[in-house]
Amino acid sequence: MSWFRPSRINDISSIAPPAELKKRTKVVVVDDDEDSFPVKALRDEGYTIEWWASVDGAALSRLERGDFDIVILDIQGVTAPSLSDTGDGLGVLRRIKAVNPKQVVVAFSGQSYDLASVPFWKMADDALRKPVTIIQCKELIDRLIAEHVSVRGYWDNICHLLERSGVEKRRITKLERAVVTAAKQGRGITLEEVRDIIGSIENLETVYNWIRRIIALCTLVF
Amino acid sequence: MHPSVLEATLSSSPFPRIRGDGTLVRGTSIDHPLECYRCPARRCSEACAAATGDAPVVTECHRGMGVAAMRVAGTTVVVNGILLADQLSRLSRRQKRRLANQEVQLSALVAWHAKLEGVVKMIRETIDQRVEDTLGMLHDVQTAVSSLLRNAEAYVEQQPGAGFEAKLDSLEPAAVRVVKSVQLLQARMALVPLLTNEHAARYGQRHPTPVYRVVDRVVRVMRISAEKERLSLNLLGTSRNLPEAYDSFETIPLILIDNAIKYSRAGQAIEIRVNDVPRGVSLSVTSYSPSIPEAQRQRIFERGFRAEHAATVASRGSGLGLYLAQVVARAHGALIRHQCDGANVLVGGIPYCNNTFSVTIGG
Repeated sequence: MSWFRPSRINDISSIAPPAELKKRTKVVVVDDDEDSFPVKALRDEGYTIEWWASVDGAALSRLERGDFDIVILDIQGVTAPSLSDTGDGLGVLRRIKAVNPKQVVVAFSGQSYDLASVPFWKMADDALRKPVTIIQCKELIDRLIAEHVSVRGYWDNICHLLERSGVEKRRITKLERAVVTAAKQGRGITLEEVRDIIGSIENLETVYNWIRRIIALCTLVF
Repeated sequence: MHPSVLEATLSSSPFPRIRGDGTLVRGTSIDHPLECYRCPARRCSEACAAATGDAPVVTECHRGMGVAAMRVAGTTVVVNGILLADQLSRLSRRQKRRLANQEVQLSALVAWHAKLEGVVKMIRETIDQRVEDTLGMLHDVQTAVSSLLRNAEAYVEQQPGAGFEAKLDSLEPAAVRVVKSVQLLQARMALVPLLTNEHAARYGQRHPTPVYRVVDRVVRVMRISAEKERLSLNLLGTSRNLPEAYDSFETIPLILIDNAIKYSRAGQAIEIRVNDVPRGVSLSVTSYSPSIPEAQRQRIFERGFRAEHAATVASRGSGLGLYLAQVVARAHGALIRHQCDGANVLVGGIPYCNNTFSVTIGG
C-alpha cells in the first residue's frame, strides 16, 4: 500500500539526451557584426541559435521575459535608435538582470582592454572575448547547458522569482505539484492555470516561460 | 608618469633640485651654493614628508638654506639651495652678498609648479588620446580577424573527417599552415587587452579545465612557429584532473611556448610537460636557451624587463610576455617559477642552459 505524497520537482529531474538538449536550448546572439560569432557553423552542429543585429523595445521585452536560455550580448552598437537612452550593451544587461536576475547572459566583446567596460564583464554570468573560435563557442554553450539547462535549474529560477515577488510558500508548493503532474502526464499547462495558482505577479510571463521549458525537457524523457 | 618622462620635463627647471638619491641637479638659472655641495648629510629629502598637497611647502634645512617640496605627477620634487626674501634678510651682509643669486620669490616657485602641472596634464592627455586611438583601431582589427576566422573555419568544416582537427589534418600542408596562422593570430590577440586591463584575466567563470587538452591545442597552433626555427615541440605527460580555471589560462602555455621558441637554439627540442598533482595540474616548458643571471631571475617577470643576452639572441621582444603570463597565473592563485640546470655552456660567447618555466594550477 502506498501513501499519497505530494509530487515534487525531484520526481521529474532526469538527464535528457545531449543532442536534444542542444536543440531545445534557445540561444540568441546580439551583435552588430554577423561574423563575430559562428552562428551558421553551430546551427549545423545542431544548436538552436538566433542572431540579432540589435535590440529594440520588443526584443528587449523578450530578453527580459526569458524567452532564451542563453543570451550572448555585445557591449557596443546593440541597441536600436528607439532604445538609445538604454545605454547600449551594459544598459541592456542591467535591464535584463533587474527584471530576471537568473537569466544567463554572456558578455561578448573585444573591448576587454577597456577599464570602463569592467562593469559589463562583471555583471554577466560568463564571458567570451573576441575574436572567438567555433570550439570556444561550443565549449562555452555546452558548459552553460550543463550548468543551467535542467529541470532543477529552471525550477530554482522560478522559486527565486516567486519569492522575490512575495508569493506564499503554499502557493509555490501548489504550483510545483501542478507542474510535476502536467509533466508526468505529458501535457502542457496554461498561463491562466498558473495565474490562478500564484496570482498576477509582475514576472508572470517569465515564470510561465520557465515552466514551459521544464515541461519541454520532461517530454524528452517521458 | 614614467620617471624618465618626469625627469625630462624637470630638466628645464630654473631652480636647483635634489633627487631622492642625494644627487644635486643645477637649475637653468640658479646653481646650488657651496653649502649644498659641501653638505655630507643632504637631508633635504626629509622635506618630502612635508609635501602632501599640491602647493609648494617651504622649509629650511639644517644649513639655513631654503627647501621647497611639491608634488608633481604623484612624485615629490625638491628644490633646494634657495633663499626666500625673509630667509635672506636674516643673513649677515657678507652672506647676503655671497648668496644673493640664491634669492627666489615664492610666487615664482608657485608659478613654476603650476606650469609643470600643466605640462604633465598635457602629456597625460596626449598619451591617453594616443592609447584611445590605437585601441579604437584594435576594434577594426578584431572585426577583420573574426571574419578571417569564420572563413578559415568554414573552409575546414567542408572537409571530410570527424571533428575539426581531423578535417584540418585532411587539408594540404599549405592550407593547414594558413588555418593555423589564423588561429595563432587569434590566440595572440587575446594577449593585447591584458596590457591595459589586468582584470580581463578574471573575466568569465572559472570552470573545470582539461589542461592537457588546452595545452595540446596551443602546441598544435604553435608548431608552425616552431617549424620555422627548426624546433620541435614535444608534449609529454598525462593529466586527468580538472582544476578550475578561467578562459585566460590558455595565455600561460601560449607565452611560455612562444618564449621557448624565440630563445631556443635552432634544431633543439622544446619539452612541454603536463602532469597531475594532488587536486591540480602542473605545466612546465623546458628549452635550451640563454642562461638568466641569478640577480635577474625574479626581474624577468617585471613589465618591460628583458634578461641579459635576450636582445642578442632575439631582437624582437618587448619584455611583456612573462609579465602577462604571471598576471594570468596570479589571477588563478598561482605563480610561474623559473629554474635553470646551471649548465652554462658557452655558445657564441653566450652561456646556455636548460631553462624550465613551471606553474601549478589548482594544486
